[in-house]
Amino acid sequence: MAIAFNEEDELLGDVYDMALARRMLRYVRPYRRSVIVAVVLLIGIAGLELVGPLIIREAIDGQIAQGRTDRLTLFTVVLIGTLITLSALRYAQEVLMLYVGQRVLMDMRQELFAHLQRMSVAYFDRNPVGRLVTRLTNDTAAIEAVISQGLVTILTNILMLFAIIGMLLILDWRLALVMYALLPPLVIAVRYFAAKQRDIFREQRMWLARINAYLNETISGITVVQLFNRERENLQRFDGLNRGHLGAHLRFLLWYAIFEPTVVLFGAATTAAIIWYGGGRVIDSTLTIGTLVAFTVYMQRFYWPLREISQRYSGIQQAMASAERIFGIMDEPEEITDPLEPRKLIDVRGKIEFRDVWFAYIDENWVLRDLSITVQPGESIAIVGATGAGKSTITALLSRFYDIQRGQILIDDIPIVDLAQHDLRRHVGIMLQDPFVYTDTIEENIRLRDRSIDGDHVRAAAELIGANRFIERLPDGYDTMLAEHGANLSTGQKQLLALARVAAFNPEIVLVMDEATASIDPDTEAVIQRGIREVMSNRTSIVIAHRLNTIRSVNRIIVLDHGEIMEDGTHEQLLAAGGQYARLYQLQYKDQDVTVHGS
Amino acid sequence: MASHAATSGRIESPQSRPRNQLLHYVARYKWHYAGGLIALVVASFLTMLPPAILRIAIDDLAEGTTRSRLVALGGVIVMIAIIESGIRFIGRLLVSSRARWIEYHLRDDLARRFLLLDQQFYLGSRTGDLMARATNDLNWVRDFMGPTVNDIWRTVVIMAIGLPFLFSIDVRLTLIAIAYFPIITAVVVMIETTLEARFRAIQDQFGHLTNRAQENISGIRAIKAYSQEQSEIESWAADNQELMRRALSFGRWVSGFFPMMILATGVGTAMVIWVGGRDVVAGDITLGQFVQFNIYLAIMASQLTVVGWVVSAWQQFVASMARINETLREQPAIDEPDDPRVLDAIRGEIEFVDVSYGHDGRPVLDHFNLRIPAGSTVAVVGETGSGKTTIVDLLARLVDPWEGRVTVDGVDVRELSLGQLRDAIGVVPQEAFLFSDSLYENITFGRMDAPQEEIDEALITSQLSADLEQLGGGLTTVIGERGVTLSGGQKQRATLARALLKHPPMLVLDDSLSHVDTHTEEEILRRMRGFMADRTTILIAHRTSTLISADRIVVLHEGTIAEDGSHEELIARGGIYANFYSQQLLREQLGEEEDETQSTGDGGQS
Repeated sequence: MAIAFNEEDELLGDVYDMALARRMLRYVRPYRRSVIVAVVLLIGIAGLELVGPLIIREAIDGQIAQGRTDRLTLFTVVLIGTLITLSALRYAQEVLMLYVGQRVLMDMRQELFAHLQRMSVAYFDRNPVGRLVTRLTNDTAAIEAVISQGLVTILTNILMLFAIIGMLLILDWRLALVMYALLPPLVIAVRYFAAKQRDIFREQRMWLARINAYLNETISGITVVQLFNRERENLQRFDGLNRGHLGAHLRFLLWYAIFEPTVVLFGAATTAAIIWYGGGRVIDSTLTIGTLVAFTVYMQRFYWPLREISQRYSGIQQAMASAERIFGIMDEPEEITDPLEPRKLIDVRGKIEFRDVWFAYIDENWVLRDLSITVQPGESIAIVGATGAGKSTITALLSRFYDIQRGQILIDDIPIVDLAQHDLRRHVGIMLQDPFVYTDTIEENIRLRDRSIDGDHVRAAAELIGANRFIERLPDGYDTMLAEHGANLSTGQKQLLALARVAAFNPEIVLVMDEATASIDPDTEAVIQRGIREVMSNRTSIVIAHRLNTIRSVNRIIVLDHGEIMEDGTHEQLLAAGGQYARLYQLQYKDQDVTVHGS
Repeated sequence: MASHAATSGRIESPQSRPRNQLLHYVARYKWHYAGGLIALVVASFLTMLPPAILRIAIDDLAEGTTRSRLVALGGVIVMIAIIESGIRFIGRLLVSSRARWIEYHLRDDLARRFLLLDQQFYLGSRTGDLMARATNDLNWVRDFMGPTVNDIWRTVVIMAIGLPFLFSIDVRLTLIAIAYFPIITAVVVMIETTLEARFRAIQDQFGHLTNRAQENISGIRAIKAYSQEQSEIESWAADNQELMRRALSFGRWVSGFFPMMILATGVGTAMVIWVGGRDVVAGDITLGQFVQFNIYLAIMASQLTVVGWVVSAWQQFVASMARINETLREQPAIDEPDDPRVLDAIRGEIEFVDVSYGHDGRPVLDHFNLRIPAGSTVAVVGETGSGKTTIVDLLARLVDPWEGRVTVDGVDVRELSLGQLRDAIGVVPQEAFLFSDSLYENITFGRMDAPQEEIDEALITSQLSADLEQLGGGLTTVIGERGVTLSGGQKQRATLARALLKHPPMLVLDDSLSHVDTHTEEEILRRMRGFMADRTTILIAHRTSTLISADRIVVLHEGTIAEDGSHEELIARGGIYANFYSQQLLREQLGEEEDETQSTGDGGQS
């Protein structure tokens, strides 16, 4: 999937960036004390930075020019003292802002993660995993740099500029005014360059987004590209994008490269002005040589901040792009929300009712049409039907992964929309067909890192299901680490793990996704079947059945077709009726029947 | 039938370039970099002149001088600055523009690699990670090759040129002023090792956090089903905090660089005032020289402050370049033969001779033999995982067999020109992959120069022409991520049109009409009859209507051919096929087939 890009976004102007910046600053607010301290430190730093040239002035005018050295040692000691304080303050201030930046980064990442946890399953259906992961990791990281460095750099440098401007006035207001006269053209030039850079930077962003999108499609569709011999043509088109990107960068370069020479030029102009005007005043004896030198040193420091700001500029722009994407996710509304005053499920009996339920994933492509099912407490039912009949949708709806368009779903006669989601799901357990496995120990995988379930409980659950046999044979037993996607377990073992999970959480209602799974050896198969029966006993259960044995053990079978109930009854009743179930039986279960009886 | 022999669109694989592609480009641009360095040396030299002029001015002032002389001195400073600015501008352009060009070349190399590498490589990599190499990582490399290289040079050059100027004023004073150099160097070298370890610790934790995010989002259904959002948030917080802790422990050291430099250089200056002041009074140096000396120190000090920045840019560069090089060194397992055979025309006789192939050491095809005469139509049936798609992959040489050989017109496909081979095969894959582009671009994907009549013909055969009006923009309609979402059936029919337009002598339909409704499918097959008459066609299918349309049916079972014959023969035999066929009929009666449902995925989703 391409990183979302929208060319119109790129054309929004300063107003937009200001709003983004303000929103980013909101994350800094909790740390405003640290920021205030940092700013106070900055004022101290800016003040101390002014001391050096002053001491040089005093050393020249008061001592050296007059042929004296008696207070030179004192000056040196004061200067070194100032420097030590200055470095300490600088270090303190940098670490402080580093801390603020990292905290903000962490908070933002945490907020984004927590926000994602609240999003509905439908949202995850729409958004590819890779995109969300990038938002959580890379995009947030780009913002940190701006908070910890960008903010400080800009603040420090603005403060420095004002401190120097003030100091010059104090030293000699007339020479200061001559210096100020040089400023307007410099400010105009810098602003012009910055504006140019900004425009081109937007262009760069756009090209990069196009490169990303193109690469993504080429990589995802690489087989098609190769089968159609399109490598050369695709490379050529990619080259067009790559060159466009290069062009935007080369144009950017012109404005980037012109910046430093401009500063050099203005620096020389100030030095020349100091010599012309200041030198003349020295001849008239209205200015000392020491002041002249101090002016020179101050002006040199004056240009330094300008260069710094220009160097951080592209980093700031990058962060803006990232912030935009992160806030884009944070602004996505939660589609499934808890009621303001949720009702509580107390002493759950386990009655389930679907009342005239209509549901579609998209628009009006109805998956369930006016479906009504009632399952009595403790009853177990199996739902069978052809692919696409809406079987698994029923389980997703009961867990409220999606909201239905019409009708009601009730548990113990309470509509599930009146319950808090966590309350509902604590009482409704799902055994997924392809169980989700963490890269963690078996024990953590059974209790899903839920601290309220202790190790003994986990073991008891595994034993109840019969999963303990294979777990205990593993090298580290319950502490065995599972590989990514549980690659070191067989399909059967993963299903046992999922069953143990249900047993550990001990819900009153269970939903079992028991769909076609090839390649499970007969021994494991037997253990799984026992496990499924164990999980279903004494619970209200709905099973999306594949195994004939499971279907036979339920109280009732419901045949679903295109979202409607076609038949309802026991295995024998439905077989005798000779309807759709009978045909399905022939198609899907007959072979199992043979093996069941034959073995 | 159009002949496309030898019009290969394949790109040559760059043969063993230097081990490090970056060095290759640096060598290519050595004159630019050399020019940049020379410009930097000249400009740095010119930077040292204004303080010398200032010295003259101050010394003149101390002894009494005229205004006109001052104006002349100021004029010289401005003149030097103009020259210096010009040289700096050129030097910067030279180096920074090459950094951009190197970025461009490396990205091009990466794209070439991506296009060359085969299925096996892509099975083991993640799209997001590959894209990051061509964007993020490349940014770090470009930033290093431009501004950072410039900063490193600048630091070295300013030191190298500044020192002789300092020594020329007063040797003793210079030695006092730079006494801190060895200390600073030692500290930087010492810290560097610590920093490296800390930086790696950050990267490890970052990787860990990325995996955790990946796991969480892929497993979101299970997490929600068990209401584990809160515990997920908590364990994410712990890892997130650990990352912050590591970033802080790296940052605390890096933050030390700048203050340390300020302190060291400042103390150097203080010592110069202390000792140099006395020298001026004693008449060893002039007041002007004293000022000049101090300004040089300030210039050098401001340059040294970038050291911290350079160190962390270096870390990023090394890590990123390693990732880029890793991809660039990947070799495709399937490539053009050294001396490819080019046939005049391909008739389309296909033969699998004793072919074995599989995954992870488990064979899918086991000593498989099949001969398909040119011009015939064969349907292949078998359960999931029986190796149907593998046959297509082997024929189009997306994979090579472990044992045995696949031949086209009697020639081993591994000896044929890859371009000619693939031009001669029209594959309609199982997953209908289309690009986010106009429908026109998608359909002419394999033949960009196709005349309009042929496009129309392909559209009619694939029954897509009726849908065009409904799409609004007709053939120019942009589909996929940036445009209209097609239904599953429309996508499949578009991929069919794309393959038909190639007019290939060999056509393979890999279960590619599964989302097309039965009525439309029959219409398509009817219209394709003429097209298939003089072409070798392989139909991988399960629908009864498709199966009946084939001359011959081959049943795959456990890696070999279990049954082979016409529909009637196999039904009469009452074996696997007969059973499969009756089940399939039942399934179709039950309406298990999905209609042309709106697909939830996007156009560019595979």
